[in-house]
Amino acid sequence: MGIFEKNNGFGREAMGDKVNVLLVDDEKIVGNRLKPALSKIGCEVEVYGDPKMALNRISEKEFDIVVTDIMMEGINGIQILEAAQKKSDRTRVIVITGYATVALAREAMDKGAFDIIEKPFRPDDIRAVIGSAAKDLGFHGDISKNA
Amino acid sequence: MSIITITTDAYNNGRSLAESVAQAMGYPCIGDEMATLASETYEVTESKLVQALKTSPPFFDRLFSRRQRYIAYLEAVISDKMLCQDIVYHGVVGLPVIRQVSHAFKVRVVANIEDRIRIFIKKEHLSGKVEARDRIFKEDEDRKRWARRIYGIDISDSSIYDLVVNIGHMGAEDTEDAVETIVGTAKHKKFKPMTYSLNCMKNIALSCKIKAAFCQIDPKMEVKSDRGTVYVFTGAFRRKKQDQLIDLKQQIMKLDGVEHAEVYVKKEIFDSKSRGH
Repeated sequence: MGIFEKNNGFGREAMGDKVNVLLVDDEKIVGNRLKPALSKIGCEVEVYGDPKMALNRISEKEFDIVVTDIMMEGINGIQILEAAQKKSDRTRVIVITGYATVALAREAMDKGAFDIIEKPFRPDDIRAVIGSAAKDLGFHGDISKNA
Repeated sequence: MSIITITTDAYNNGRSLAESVAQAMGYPCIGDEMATLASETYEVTESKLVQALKTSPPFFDRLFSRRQRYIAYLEAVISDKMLCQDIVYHGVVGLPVIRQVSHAFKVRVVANIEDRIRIFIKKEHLSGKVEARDRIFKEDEDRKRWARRIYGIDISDSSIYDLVVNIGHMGAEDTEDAVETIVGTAKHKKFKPMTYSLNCMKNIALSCKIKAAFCQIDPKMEVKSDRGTVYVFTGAFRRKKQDQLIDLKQQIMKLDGVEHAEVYVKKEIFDSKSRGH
């Protein structure tokens, strides 16, 4: 079992011990670096470089957390956010972007993003946000101590 | 940390409206008293700070540098408050500084002139409506000129705000509806603080703190911060005076929150022209 333990006292369905994370970013290096960093703290991570494939996967499976870039070819992060919210309002969506603006930040929050992080970020930054999202979903565990 | 800024014209009960919003949100309300805090923090007479805010600088202002310094002190204390707690801020100082902070909800409140004349007459013990009107218009014009000169903005331009409320359309002295509108909108999720916007605020507060600490050297100094890395652009030194640049860099590095500092010499227009660049 990872550092997250599922608290089933909130009347939610048990989804296993691990936090299911879908990560979509067309910069492969982001996925390559974040996957091991998040796996280490108890997340089960699926990485997609192609946003279309990520959308297909979102339509098949309800993830606990979706981490998405904004500027991608063909499909942008806001569409990923909307698809994830449509699939389940329980899913926490974290937006990562190198082009953050007031308008974009407000649009993403308005559409239900859990948080927005500006690139480049340190692994600890994303781990802290994933930790908050997991806690918000009822998982237990102090991510900052295990990061 | 949530931020609500409320900008009003003179004599329209702006402060009391800001306090009502603060009370409804459960936040403290700050405004004019920031001059007292800046005065204590930076050891400047409070009256000088207030004067820097109230009077509109003439085009050729020989005290412009000093005025910029006082404004840097005020921006430093205001941005620090905005960083550390949920807050309602009534005022104009620092508004352009936080324009990139998505969780700062910027409100402008306007009132009709008849109500303002009534408030003015009551407060200043005047009897003539015409004189009251003229003085209100003059004060409005002074404030606009001040903001244009200091920040290059038109404070009456609605596009720089998220919400403009006309209390004149809601009942003469009744601000309840306005408060309800502001509070309701402030709770919208798009004004919720997030990692990105909190980092923006952190960067701004650090930049303002550094500028306030070193603006005596150069009031036109520009400071940008990015997660502890500080970039300072100053015209105070000549490029060849490397020892002065290194000294400034070392002093900046001693401040809390600074992990790394870079100091650059700004090219002065007159300097470049005189050299034929």
